[in-house]
Order: sequence, then C-alpha cells, then structure tokens
Amino acid sequence: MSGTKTSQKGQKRLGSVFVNGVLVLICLVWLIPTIGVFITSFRNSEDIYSSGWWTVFPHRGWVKVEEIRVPESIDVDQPFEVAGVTADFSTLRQGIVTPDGRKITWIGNKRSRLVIVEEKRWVGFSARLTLDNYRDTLSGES
Amino acid sequence: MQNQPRLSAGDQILNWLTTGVGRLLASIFVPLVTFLVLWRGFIFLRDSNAPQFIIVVVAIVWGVGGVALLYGVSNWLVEKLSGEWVRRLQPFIFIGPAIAILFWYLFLPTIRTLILSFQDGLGRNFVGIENYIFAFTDRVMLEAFRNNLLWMVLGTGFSVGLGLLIAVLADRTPFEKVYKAIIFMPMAISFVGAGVIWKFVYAYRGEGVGIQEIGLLNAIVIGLGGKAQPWLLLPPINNLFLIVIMVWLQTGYAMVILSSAIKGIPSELLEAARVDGANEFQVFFQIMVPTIQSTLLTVTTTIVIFSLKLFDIVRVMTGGNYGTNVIANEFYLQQFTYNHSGRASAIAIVLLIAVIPVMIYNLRQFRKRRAF
Repeated sequence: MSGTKTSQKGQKRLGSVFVNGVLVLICLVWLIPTIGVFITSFRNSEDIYSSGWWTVFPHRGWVKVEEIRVPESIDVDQPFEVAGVTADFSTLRQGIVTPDGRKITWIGNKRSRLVIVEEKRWVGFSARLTLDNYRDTLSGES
Repeated sequence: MQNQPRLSAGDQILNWLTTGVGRLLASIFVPLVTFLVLWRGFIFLRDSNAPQFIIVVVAIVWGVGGVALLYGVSNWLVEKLSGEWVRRLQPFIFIGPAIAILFWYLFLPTIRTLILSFQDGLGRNFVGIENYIFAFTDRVMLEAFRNNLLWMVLGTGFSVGLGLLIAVLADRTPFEKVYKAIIFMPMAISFVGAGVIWKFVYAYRGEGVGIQEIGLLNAIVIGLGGKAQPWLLLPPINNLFLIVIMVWLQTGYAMVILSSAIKGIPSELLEAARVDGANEFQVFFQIMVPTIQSTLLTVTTTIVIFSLKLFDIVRVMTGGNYGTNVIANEFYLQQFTYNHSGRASAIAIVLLIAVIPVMIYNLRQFRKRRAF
C-alpha cells in the first residue's frame, strides 16, 4: 500500500517536472526575440549590423592575434606558404582553420597582401554597450 | 397647498413661459440660441488667431459643453410634450448620437465603398463588375486568397492550440502567473514593433567573406552545420515564418481567455472523472474540451477574423512581395500605391463579405456567453 503511494507521488513529481519543463521551454522561445531587441537597443548601430546580439554574452570567438604582410616576392597566383600553411589565394580568402586551432585569412584583394591569424578565445566580457540610442531617441536627435 | 408661496417675478416669467404662446416661442427660441452658440463656437475655432492655449480651452468647453447642451435642450424639448410622446421619443435622445455616428462613420462609408467598387480607378465612370472580376481572378489576388487561407488555418490553429496547451499546463504549476505573464507579454507589443523584433530573428546578411549572420535563426542553422537562408524570400515557406509572428502575438490572448474558462470548470466534475479512472488525456478531451467548447469557439472565431484582416506583419516584413501577399495588403497597395480606388473598394467589399459570416457567428457566441 505504502509502496504504491510513493510510486504515485513519484509519478506526480515526474509529471510536474515535465509540465514545468515544457512551460519553461515555451516561455524561453517566447522571450528570446524580445530579449534580442532589448539587448540590441544598447548596441552601436555599427555593432548591430556586424554581429548578432547574442555576441554580447561571453563566448568563444575568433580573435586576431597576428597580422602578416605577404612579401612582394611571393607569387600569389600560385599556391604559396604563409603562417605555416600552403594554399592558393581563393582558399585563403575564405579562411583556413589549421589543426592547431588557428584561422588564417587573407584580407582584401590580391594587392593588399595582408593576412591575419586568429585564435579562438573567450570574448564578450567587455561588451560594448551604450545608452546612446536611448539618449538620442528621448532627446529627438537623429 | 396650504403653504402656497408668493409668486416672485421669476416665477411669473416661468409661468408665462410654460403656457400657450410662451411655450411655443420658447421651444423655438431655445434651440435657435443653442444652434447660434454652437455655430459661433465653430466659427471661432475655425478662424481664430488666439493663443493656442485659449483655443484648446475653448475647444474643450465647446466640444464637451456642446454635447451636454444638445442633450439638455433636446431632452427639455421632448419633456415638454405629452406623456405618451415623451415615452416614444425619449429613447431616441439617448441612442440618437450613437445611431448618427454609426450612420456617418460606418454605414455611409460602406455604401460609398460599394459604389466606388463598381467604378473605375478614379471613381468617375461605372465599369460594372470589372473590379470584382479582378478581385476573384487576378493572379495576385488568388495568391492573396491562398495566403489568407494559410493564415486563417495555421495561424488560428497554432494560436488556439498553443494557448490551450499553455492554459492547461500552467493550471497545474505553482508558477502559473509567471508563465502566463511571459506568454501574454507580446500582446502589449504593436505589430510593427513585432516586425522589428522578428527582423532580428529572420535577418539574412548574404554570402561572402567575413559576413556574420545577425539573425538568430540563421545563427542557429549555421551552428547546427547548415547554411544561412534568406528566410523571408523563400516562397511558400516564408508565409509560415510570418504566421509564426502572429502566433507569437496572439497565443497570449487565446491563453488568458481559455485559462479563465478552464478555471470555471467545476472541480467536482474533474474529480468525478478521475475517481472513475479516467487518465489525464481522457479528462482533457472528454471533460475539459466539451465544457469550454463555447469559449473555444469564441476565441477561434475572433482570431479567424483577425487573421482574415491581417495587414501589419506582411506590410512590415515583406511588403507583400515574394509570394506573401494578403488581401488587406493588396487593398492597401491598390488604394495608396496604384491609386485605383475601384479595385481597392472591390477588395474591401470582398473582405467585408468574407468576414461577415464569421462575425455573425462570433456575436452569437458572445451573446450565448452573455458577454454583452
């Protein structure tokens, strides 16, 4: 008798966990779009269009660690070696991720001769948030 | 009568006013004065160069006082009549303004729209049913009808279904108020505001080197190893993405009304069912749903009407392009972009006729529930 009672209780608790779980899930889906626009309201317009609003939270992102000038003597029409990888121009423009976790990307066109090396690091602790949008809106500036 | 007061000069005038010729003169004179006062006020408000503050004060006094004056004078006039006529006419003094407003703002525009719908784009010549042929056969309109059907079925279905699910589930938790507040919150957001909010979900930045997706949906898809998609440019699935916005906004409404209906179910009924061995699903489908059926129908028809005349979301998100056009948006385009009042009016009439049956049904349901 007491055994069935406990099992019923357990079942009830399981049910309540399930119910709360479903509701929390739905509520999260309901809240996230609004949270997004709320966070966006504290960002610079430049940032808004260059990265998602969720990047204000700490996360592992690519951070530039090195800039390399490719010497004029290297022919970029052929596969060439830079920062330890050998690849042709178009692959380098897309960015190459090396096995040791670096990302090597050619910036700009062939004449720019600029290559950057990035590494995954924790970023977002010093999010650039601003009240400018609110100040401008309330004071009527554009 | 033992305490008869001495007649003062004022009473004498009043006596004279309420008898015979005086009565007749007064009932002509008083409305005339009223009309003159109101007319002078109107002329003053139209032509005056007085400081803004004075104009505002005069406008308020003129507007509010004018209504009171009109009511007072007409009521006074009617009460001068014999008892039977007072009984006959007095109701009209009370509902008269409402009827006048209904006539002027609702009935006349409808008739005007009906006439315009049989005329050409500039409303000069009659063209027969040409506009209606457009409204029912044009490719653009057929697409709009199809999309409205999608909105009606999917939008209403998901709003009511999710609202019911949340109402039933939230009824069993101690945090009911928190959940319901969160789901209800979007109801406070305007449709245009919702458009801005959801742009940050569906945003698509295009392809290229170094481009970061700023849309949440694309970020999730990329995170799962997929490829960024221009969600709002992909017919016919973009309609579904727009419908999601309406569901997001309207579920709260369905939820609160259904929740109150669920709380109104007698608890003995549910207990009896559980004692008889019904499981939760049986309780839900065979006890709860039939009991709240009339509320369910009212909510459904309200949201159906809502989805039929839906406009803002489509206007803000896609402007009706890429196969997302709806009837109300096409009406807007015809009237304000193409300046074709004939076609616009025909679409408006079609929309009106489409909504009327649902409306009548809805009002019947409301009356059954004694909502008014």
